[in-house]
Amino acid sequence: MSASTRDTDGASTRDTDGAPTRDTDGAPVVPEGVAEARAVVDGVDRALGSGLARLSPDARAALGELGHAVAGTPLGLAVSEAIAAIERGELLAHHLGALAAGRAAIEGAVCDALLAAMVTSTGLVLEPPTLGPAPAPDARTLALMQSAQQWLVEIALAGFGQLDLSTVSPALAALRTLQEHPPLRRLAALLTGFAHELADAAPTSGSTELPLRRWADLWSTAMLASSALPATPTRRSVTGVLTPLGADLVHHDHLVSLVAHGLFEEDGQPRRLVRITLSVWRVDAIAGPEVFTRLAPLAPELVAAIASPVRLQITGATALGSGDLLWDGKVKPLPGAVQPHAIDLAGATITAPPPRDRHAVQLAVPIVGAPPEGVPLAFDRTSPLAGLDEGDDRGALGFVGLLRYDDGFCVQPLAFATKKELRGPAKGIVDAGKLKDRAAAVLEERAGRLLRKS
Amino acid sequence: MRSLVPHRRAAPAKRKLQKVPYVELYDGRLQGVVSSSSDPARVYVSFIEAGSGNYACSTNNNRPCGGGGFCGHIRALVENALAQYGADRVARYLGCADRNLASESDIARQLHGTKTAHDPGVVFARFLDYLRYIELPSGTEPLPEMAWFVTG
Ligand SMILES: [Zn+2]
Repeated sequence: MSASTRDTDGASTRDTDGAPTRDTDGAPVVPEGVAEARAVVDGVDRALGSGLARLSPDARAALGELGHAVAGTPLGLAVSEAIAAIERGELLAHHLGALAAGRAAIEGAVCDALLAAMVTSTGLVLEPPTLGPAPAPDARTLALMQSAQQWLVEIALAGFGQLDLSTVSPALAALRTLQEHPPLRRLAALLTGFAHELADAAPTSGSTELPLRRWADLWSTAMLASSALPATPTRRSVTGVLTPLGADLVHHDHLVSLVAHGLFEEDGQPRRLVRITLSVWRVDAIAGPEVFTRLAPLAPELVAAIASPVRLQITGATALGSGDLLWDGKVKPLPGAVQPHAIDLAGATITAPPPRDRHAVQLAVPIVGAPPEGVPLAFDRTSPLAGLDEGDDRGALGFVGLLRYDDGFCVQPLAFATKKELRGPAKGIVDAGKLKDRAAAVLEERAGRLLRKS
Repeated sequence: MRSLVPHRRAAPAKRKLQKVPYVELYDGRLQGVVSSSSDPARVYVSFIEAGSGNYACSTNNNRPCGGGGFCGHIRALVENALAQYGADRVARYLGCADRNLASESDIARQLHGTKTAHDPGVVFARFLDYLRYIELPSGTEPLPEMAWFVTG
């Protein structure tokens, strides 16, 4: 932590909001076994990099390590059978699905241990997700899942290090039907980003800097998502007060999501950390503040409250058992500004990710006041849309961020408050309101003329 | 260096979208769609091939462009590619050793291609597919998988 962010410690105790304050908690401790688990996963990733169609001795050994690591778990038998089949050259979708499940189980165990450490260090209370059964896909959904899976099999056989455009382009061609099929919206968002990322990188042979771990993560996540639909989080109608803490922006060239983190207070219930997600499809030309003009209509009061923090009275919204809140209730902004960086989160509950989402990348624990001592600020973890750059912590009186893990704990900043301004997405949100020429308007005009003509 | 998320990329500079509604580095080409300055209902499809520097320009209905060498459409295409991707990425993609590209003439100086025939239909179809994204529905259901996509 830099000297300038240490200044915020002193400031956060000068609370003008009435909420109790507390000292900065200690840094979370990386649990035992994380490095060993990572070594097993790295081995699988090297095998996926060189391609499962020809296994080197190193790749065979790495798959063996995966088999050992999950032996004795409910997955053990399926994974060892799948590895034996892959080594015999039987490369069927369900074998590769079992391999992905084995890899995901290790990532899931790491995720659980990391989350427990994060929750302990932040003084939050961890709650398991509440889920109903996974629905069975209808015939059309199943066909789309199988077609996605077939492409994922081709990618794994070829290997990330030997991809050319002809291996990737079938996936690009199939995206449209996925995107237009709402039951698979999650798979569509993932594959749209993944397939375009691979197309941008193709041909990959000879390249020395492939993001093997990232691609193996995306591949196994997509492999599981195309094997079975995830369990459905329970739904409950809720009424209470939401205090938005900050917003994270995540996006690839074709979709952008604003994920708002907030504290939800409901009569007779423990205070709870929730997420609200607003998503729009886009193209690369729709960038900068214009993104907020596309997102704001989905939840105008929420987006306004991120730029200029106030509490929101929510009536009859749907709370999901995954810790998410849907923006489907009545919303009334409450009078009086709030300072998110001065809210006391101690004792609030946070929901663990559902089984399918147990991966370190999903861990995002809100932190207010100041980053924990010894945990670095990760500006490289923020979107260019977030309006934050290295050094924006200078002179800040207050801080809101997300505790994350990416080869070590780090804190992704969401906003810094100074005497005069709120650094973060607030500026983009305000600028969006004054925007004159919009890329979407130009492209819509072009679409109107050319689609009509062609 | 983080390993879960991609490296942060600089935000693109402002493009002249009305003039060049579509530009991409794809299939070994810098290619895109350039609006006609005289007829709002007409567009040109142009490309420069990486390595060879071969190039082409025609209307989307496959009428050849009258311009010689790197025509005005290709000039506009390059200008907008430099804004969208930055000179370094464009130069690397095209195989220009000198990555300091300011305009199409810096490409012509390094790659010595000739005008070739092409089928504008492929790029034009990609452009129409690109436009389709603006009309896809938005939503407020959680999309946990987007946690992987921080930049880009
Ligand atoms: Zn031309």
